[in-house]
Amino acid sequence: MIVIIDYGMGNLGSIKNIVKKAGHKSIISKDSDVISNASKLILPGVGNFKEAMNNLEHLNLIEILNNKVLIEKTPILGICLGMQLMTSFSEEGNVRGLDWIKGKTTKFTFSNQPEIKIPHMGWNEIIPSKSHKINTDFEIPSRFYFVHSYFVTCEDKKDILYETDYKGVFTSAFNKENIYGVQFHPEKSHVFGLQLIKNFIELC
Amino acid sequence: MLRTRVIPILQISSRALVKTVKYKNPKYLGDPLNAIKIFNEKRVDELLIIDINAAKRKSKIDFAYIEELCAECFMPIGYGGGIETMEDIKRLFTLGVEKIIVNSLIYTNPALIENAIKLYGAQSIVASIDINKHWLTKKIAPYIHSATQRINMEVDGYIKLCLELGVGEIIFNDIEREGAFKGYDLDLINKYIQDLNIPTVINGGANNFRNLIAAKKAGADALAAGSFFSLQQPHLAVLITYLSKEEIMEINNLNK
Repeated sequence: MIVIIDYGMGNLGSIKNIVKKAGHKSIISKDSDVISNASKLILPGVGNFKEAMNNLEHLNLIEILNNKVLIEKTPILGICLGMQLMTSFSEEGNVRGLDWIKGKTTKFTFSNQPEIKIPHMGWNEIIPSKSHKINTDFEIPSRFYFVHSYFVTCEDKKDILYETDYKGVFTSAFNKENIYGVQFHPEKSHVFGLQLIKNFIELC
Repeated sequence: MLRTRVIPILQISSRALVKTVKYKNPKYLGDPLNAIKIFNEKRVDELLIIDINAAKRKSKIDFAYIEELCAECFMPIGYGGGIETMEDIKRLFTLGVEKIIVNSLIYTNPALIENAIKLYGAQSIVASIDINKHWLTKKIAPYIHSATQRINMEVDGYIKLCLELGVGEIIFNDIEREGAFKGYDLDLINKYIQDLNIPTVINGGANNFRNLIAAKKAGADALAAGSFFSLQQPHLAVLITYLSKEEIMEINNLNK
């Protein structure tokens, strides 16, 4: 079963909807037994990094997730804040993350270009950095809906899956083994997002 | 490169799709779900759903129906109408809305907006400002309660209030032109919108593609329209439509 992790941060209904549209069933849960039995995991997230880590801790989910992701190698897709949580550290609250992907989450700064607005909000294109089964049948160019003020920088460039240009290139998706993170919202990105979700479920 | 958002606005009333002129005389257009399905096919950037009756209804927000609509939306959704409490905001997010659109609430309960921003982030709270002309003095001012009540503030002071509350985005509704196919008011964009350092949306008056280009050039970040995407000029037959691929390309080329 595909489990959408409910830790009080974000728009879970939309993710369940797109999984259904892709032809699969999912459940939204914070129950450790349900999560332990998942065949695939989705870690959504909208909001504050520090609060998100606190919530995961209070729900006693960190150890279970570490086991599922690092030992059992269950495929997991982090979306937006969910992606950022997978990194080692975030400037937002100066806290440690799950540390599954070596890298950090920092805020966009365009101090000498005040006309560039934060958050990066709207539709932008992705440039795949490597060929990967999750890109199967993608339209070129594929575009996705973004809304974020912080972004991820990977320590190991091999982990970068997509890049996106917002007055400079940043990492808009990463992948290492069974771990996937996307900065954009596939659940709100029409056929482009649907294809990505379908590929994650069926091919990854 | 970030694309320019072009946003259809759906006005709903008692589960029907309607369209007003200057927020008055709602004309029945059809089933909102059908419109949403067409906008999905056309891959629109974003949709705003405004329940024009919710504030007046005893039961306020029609959560069950919003949930039904959201289940069909594979694009970002903003919702406005009848929002009064933090519980309302929380429920709307849970059932699939990305952005909460607040209008009269900015004036009547700014503390709630501040708290919602603390909890959900600036990007999820959008201020909607209705700008109208006084019928006699012709002076423009911000209005609330479906543009029926003028508030005792200047437009720039009201914008400043929104910025201080920390909203992530402002939609400017030009009531004088709403549903009137007169073109966006470029002076309004020049005077109030172009210099703001948060994303801005202009709404009211869109009548042709050149006018959208002009509004973008004048400094609006995103372009919203109701009638332009649902009624065909000059006879105002119902036609749910969106920009063509070529037009989208032209508008995005302005960002290069």
